[in-house]
Amino acid sequence: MLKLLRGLNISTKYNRGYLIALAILFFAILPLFSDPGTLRLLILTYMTLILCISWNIISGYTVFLSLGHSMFLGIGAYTSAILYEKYGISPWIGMIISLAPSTLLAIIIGLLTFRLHGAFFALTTIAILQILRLLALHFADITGGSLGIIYTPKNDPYNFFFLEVTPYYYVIYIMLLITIYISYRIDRGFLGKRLKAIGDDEIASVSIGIDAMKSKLLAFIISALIATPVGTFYAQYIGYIIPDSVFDLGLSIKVAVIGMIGGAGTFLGPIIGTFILIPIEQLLTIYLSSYYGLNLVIYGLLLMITMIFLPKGVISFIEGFLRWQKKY
Amino acid sequence: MESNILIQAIINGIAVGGIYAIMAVGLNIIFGVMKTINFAHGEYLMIAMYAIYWTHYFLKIDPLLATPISLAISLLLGYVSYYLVINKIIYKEDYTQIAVTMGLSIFLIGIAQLLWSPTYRGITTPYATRNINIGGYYLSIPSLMVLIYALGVSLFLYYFLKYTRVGVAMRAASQDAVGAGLCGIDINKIYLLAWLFGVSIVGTSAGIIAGIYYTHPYVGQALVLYAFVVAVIGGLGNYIGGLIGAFILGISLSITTNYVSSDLSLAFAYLIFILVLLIRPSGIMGVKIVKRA
Repeated sequence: MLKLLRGLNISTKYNRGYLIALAILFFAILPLFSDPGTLRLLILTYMTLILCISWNIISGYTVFLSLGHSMFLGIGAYTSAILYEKYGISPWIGMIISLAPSTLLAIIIGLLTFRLHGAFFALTTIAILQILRLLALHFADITGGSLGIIYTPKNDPYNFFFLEVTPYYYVIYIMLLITIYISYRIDRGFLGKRLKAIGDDEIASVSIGIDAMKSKLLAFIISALIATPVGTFYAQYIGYIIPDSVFDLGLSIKVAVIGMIGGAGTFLGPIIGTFILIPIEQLLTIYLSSYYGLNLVIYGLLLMITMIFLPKGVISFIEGFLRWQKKY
Repeated sequence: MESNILIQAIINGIAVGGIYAIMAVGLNIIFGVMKTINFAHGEYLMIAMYAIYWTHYFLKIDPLLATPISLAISLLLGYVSYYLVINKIIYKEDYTQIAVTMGLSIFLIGIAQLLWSPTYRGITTPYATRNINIGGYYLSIPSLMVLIYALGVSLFLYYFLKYTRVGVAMRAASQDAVGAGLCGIDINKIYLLAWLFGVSIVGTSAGIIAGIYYTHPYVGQALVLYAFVVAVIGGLGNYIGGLIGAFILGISLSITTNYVSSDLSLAFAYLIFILVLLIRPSGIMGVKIVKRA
């Protein structure tokens, strides 16, 4: 195994470029030879992964733990759906319009809580998520209340409706590639360095001239901008939205759990976390679905164990292993 | 007539506030001493409520008489989880603490679903629907018990923290853990004590609360969200502030339910929460916590 790893020589830059290009190509041509079931599973994985990367940008690098991240999903879903249902605006445009309310929300939450103890941010994100959910339930004449908004399936590419799974796959795949690129640039760029410094020691980072408030706000806005379009995609792909499915506390917590298990504050962490936990979740759903609640038990256990023994997530374990095998 | 409804709404609000107060007092004790927000707080209540429910189910005794069992179980659970989990994160940063207590919460919810399914389980007591009449206004018997319990616990804590040696040690540890340690206080024991206090307050209340709310895996999560709001209104870590905050929240929710809409009342609670963050983040009784950065 070790020899094989060394044989691949993954640390050389050229080879890594080839590998990445190969992986991008592989997932791009995957719909040609796989069944809709696999594609649906991959779409779910990609959506979770985008949310998780978005979560990582604010909560991974800094200590501000967002536990209500699906609020952006909900805003994206509801804005585009309401615009389409009431005014006939294409969800493609609605997707862009929905960026405005979530940016505004990110700024408001940021200004309110970024100067406080980290726990306040966590509690505020939960609070905002609940407020949005209850508002969506209450104003039934706009949002459809607890019945939600239901689309009839049709083939209408201009309005983001497809009958097949494949077009949806490509849409979310392109969104994922853009997200990963943005995340990579942030991780390697100035913003990422500033955020890591703030996460390590905020007072020290301010004293060397980092505008902590501005960096955190920027990170949160980028995070919101990444997560919101997934909401529109979700509404179009699933075909119906209800407040409890998009403004979902459980989903928000799941995104945070995946990010923390994978390794918060790293570029690869969310990716590793998603590819560890989504398969586990799927296996549990398929083979042990009669044991209702087992997925929560495993999530909780994994979260506690990783945070206690590997505070930097599974990625730190893998990095340690690679460093260790290099010695021999 | 109008004022009658208002006064009745206020009385109802005080009654509901008692439940929030019970939740928030434990949360505040733990935060005040250990500087840890216990996201699993509601789940201790949930497990204790299941203990009550099953004791009631099998032994057919009144839920109040089952209180010693729920207390014992929550103490046991608190003790075990303290040594397995909490012990290891006390000195870590709050990010880890939030994550781990949240993991504990998810874990306990999962266990409850796995063992007892997500069914809503209710206990009917003979006194559940009975009211007492205070000058034309009504207060239900379970609410009265909640109020007595909340006030009793607060008074007990007040005297405990003020007049006993352990209580003074606890306050010292909450002000400055290192300094208190240097004076010979065993900080780890104080932390364990604070944790068990917080857990047993909800554990004891389960006998009353199981007669009011249905027992199901998410009951704790639903209630703890209010408790967070209450704790922030009153000032995190300040249990008297929490008590006042609970009644403020209870009354304002009850008035909103009466005059605006019942399904928006939780949204209103969070609105208060955000307003408090905006105006006075340290809460009405708290100390300054704004980090200058």
